[in-house]
Amino acid sequence: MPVINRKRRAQAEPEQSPPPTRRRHSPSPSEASSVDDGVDGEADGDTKGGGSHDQMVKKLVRLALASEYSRQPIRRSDITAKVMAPNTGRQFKHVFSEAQNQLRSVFGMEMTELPQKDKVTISQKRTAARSGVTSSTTSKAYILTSTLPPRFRKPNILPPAQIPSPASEAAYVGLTTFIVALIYLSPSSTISEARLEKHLKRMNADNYVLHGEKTEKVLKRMEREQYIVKVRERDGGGEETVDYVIGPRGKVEVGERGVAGLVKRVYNKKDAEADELEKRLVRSLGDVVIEKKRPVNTEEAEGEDAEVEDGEQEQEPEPEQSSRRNGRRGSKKQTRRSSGRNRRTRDEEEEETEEEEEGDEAEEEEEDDEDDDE
Amino acid sequence: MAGYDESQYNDSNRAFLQAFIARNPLTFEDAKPVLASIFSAHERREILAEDVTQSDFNSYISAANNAISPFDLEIRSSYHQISRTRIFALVNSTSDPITQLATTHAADEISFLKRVLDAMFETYNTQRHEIMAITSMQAIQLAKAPTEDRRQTQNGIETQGSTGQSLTQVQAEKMMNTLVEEGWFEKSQKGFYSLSPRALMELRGWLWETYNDIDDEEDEDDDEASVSKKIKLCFACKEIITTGQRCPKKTCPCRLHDICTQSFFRTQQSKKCPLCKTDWTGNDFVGERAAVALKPKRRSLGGAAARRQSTVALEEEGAEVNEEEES
Repeated sequence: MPVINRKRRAQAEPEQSPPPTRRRHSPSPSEASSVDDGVDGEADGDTKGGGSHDQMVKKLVRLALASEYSRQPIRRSDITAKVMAPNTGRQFKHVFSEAQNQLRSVFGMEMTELPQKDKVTISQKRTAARSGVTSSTTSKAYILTSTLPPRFRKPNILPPAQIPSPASEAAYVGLTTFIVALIYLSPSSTISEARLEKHLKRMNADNYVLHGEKTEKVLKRMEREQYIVKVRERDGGGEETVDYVIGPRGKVEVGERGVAGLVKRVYNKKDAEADELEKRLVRSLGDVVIEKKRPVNTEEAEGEDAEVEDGEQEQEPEPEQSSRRNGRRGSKKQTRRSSGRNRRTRDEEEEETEEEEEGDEAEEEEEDDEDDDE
Repeated sequence: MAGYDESQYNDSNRAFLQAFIARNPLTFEDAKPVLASIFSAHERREILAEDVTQSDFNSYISAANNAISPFDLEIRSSYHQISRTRIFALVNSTSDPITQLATTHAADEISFLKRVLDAMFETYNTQRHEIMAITSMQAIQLAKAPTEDRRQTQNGIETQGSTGQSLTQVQAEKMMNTLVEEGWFEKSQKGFYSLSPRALMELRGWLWETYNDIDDEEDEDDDEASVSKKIKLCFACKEIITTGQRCPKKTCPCRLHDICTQSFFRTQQSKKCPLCKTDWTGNDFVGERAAVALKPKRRSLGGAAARRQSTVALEEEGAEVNEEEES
């Protein structure tokens, strides 16, 4: 099936001219160097199917791309205010799903709803309980995630974005993933400020990180971008405790599987040891981290469709080709990890992770955490 | 806006689009290893960067362009003004409030940027000295937001975050560096900041509208009308010119990129300005060289005025740059 729209080595014509539009069935796109092109751009979206609907779809796609650039979630309320024409509230679902289609088919991205922030503090829980039924289970905020199959999600295809530079983006993503992993692997997915500081100190990142930025500032940014959430709570005696938990974006972008990928890459274990590591990861993170078995060759022959349909929307950890013989399939959807797991192992693991990680800040940037969504 | 035929537009195209967005702007050379990795992933066999052809690249660019044009996004290309490398950039072809979100800069930083652009294309872009670039010293002096009355005139030109607080000098300096990192500015060896090809592609329409007041009377009398245009096009390649050569006659609007002059004069009988037939010197410049090539040479017209402006232009690096020029 892969009839690709390029002919490799077909004709070795010395083609230096502007990107030709041949081989495309559709009318030529606005020529690459046209000065004012607003016109035909508009025409495309407008002519078909009753103008304003397509117009809203287009706006939503643009909103999604623009928001992701600055890592702002796409909020339902923003969509209503900025995208929907007046009195078209009913069409929301329609517009949204069409935009979703467009994002998938053109950009290989989709809007993924962020989970609700966890109710962490006692008072939060109390209000939640008081307000009756678990209020709304949805956050009505979305971020863009990639729908590309994992084999395309490689650093040489999708490098850290140039916002502002690939190096600083890489450093930020690396550190963020590390911190999110630390939190995931801590008891109840909560880490005290003091403990986080201790870890950062061992990484030599307690004061300054990345391009000489203050750690404090970078943590604030992670908070703002919802990778982590800082929780202050006053207990009965007036003692204040400060903890970090995983934020909605951290759950979606990194998630248990991302953490598992990071840990595996750091340990780089083979065979029996890899099995052992996997077991421990499952104990800590839940069985969502189990990679679906990837037969080495058969799948290759099947062509891509099979894989696409398997819907690996989650960030895929590096495919480890270690010998995992039994191909248990992890549940595809990311499920919240149940909390009553074996704490002891998690603690041990955390210690080890930390040992390995020390001074490795640069390396982990290369990890599974492709930041391919914007 | 229907679904796409997988045989025409598939994951390899999507991957290319994402790769492009992350690397924007892109040259063919940059794209080769990327496409090789994409092809390898797509066809599940190793494909080397050398095997990627220009027409592979072209067809991916054109497929991407087709796919994104309904969203008012566009891949444009232009040549680097100095190296003539062909550069492709994915740009947003309409400005609307939605896409103004797509920045990591605060409103104050954006309004500082606006001041820098004004300086590049107005203050340091006079009929005598079309520098169209700014030194870091000059930029830092713009850190402070202008006082009320001047701000009024600025508001005339509607732009994002048009009012604003001052930046500190340190912030201004950092902002300039970030803009270079982000690929909007280029910094020359001599310390001048100028717009990068990507910025020129993205801002082409905006620059034209903002700094050229009288574009509608274009066809009347060339000389008069276009001289007062702040933004000029290269006579040969018709791209915006911010560095290159100019006709020695100050009122003549003819400009040529350095690299364009070679092929251009080869086809002419003599080295004369194609518009006014003045002899082309090759020593009259647009761009940062206009800031230095002025002192003794300006004997022809209005000495006093020239000198006054030259002091403005030279203000900071006169000495240092001149030395380099002489050597």
